[in-house]
Amino acid sequence: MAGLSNIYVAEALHRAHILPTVLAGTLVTSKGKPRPALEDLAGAVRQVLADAIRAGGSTLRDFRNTEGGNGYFQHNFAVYDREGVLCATPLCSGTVERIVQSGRLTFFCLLCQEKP
Amino acid sequence: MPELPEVETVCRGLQPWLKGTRIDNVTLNRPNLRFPFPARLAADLAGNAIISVGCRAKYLHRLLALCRARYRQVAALLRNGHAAQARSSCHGHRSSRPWQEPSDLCRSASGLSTSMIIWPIVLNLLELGLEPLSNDFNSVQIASKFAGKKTLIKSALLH
Ligand SMILES: [Zn+2]
Repeated sequence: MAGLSNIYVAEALHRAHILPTVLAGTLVTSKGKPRPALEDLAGAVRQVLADAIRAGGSTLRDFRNTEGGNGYFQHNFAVYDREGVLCATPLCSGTVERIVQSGRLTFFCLLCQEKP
Repeated sequence: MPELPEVETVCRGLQPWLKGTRIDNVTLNRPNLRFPFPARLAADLAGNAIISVGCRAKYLHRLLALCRARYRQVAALLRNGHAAQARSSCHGHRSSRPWQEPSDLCRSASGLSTSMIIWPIVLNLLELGLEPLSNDFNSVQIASKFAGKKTLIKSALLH
């Protein structure tokens, strides 16, 4: 997807309750139709991006907007860079885990990211 | 690396300042940005207005209406929030890696805040894939990309 980064992928997968270790093809039926989990993921991507834009983006190092101000979405991360923290999903008692995939860090909750 | 939400934020901040802005004159301090400048670039740009400022994925672009040709300036925010930018014609160039030299041309033309260093990059916007904020972004479209893919969902989303 154009323009998605590690942060927003991690957050969208968490909101859609999809494990980052599943294969992309498993979210599609044999007839090429999206499975329900993929419907959830499409919505989660849009929602995460909309929320991030509303917060003015994420300032992790020194991103600044055109007026020199910070973005604030980093304060709303549910899993990204939150290893060991209690999962933000209501009623979930899991903690955020961290693994390395393709040389990049991945954050997720093993308890509520169970799809598909 | 600033991504779509950060670029969208910058884009929205730039729009009221840049849209409709007329370019008085252009000074080229070098003959190229990755590719040689068109022979009449400075003359073509001078006196014309920036007609739009938009985003495609994590790239900003500006459309310049010109009497003889249309140019698109493309900018990307690099690590540390610095901007990368170059001009590519609407005919499109092949995508490429960022060029490693700051561009005074783009910095002076953009009026960006002084904290932004402008780095040129040339890319073809059409090669960037599904745009997550567009109406085309839906589960059916994504399914057509994912069908039969044995790559991890995370990698598939990042590309
Ligand atoms: Zn959880």
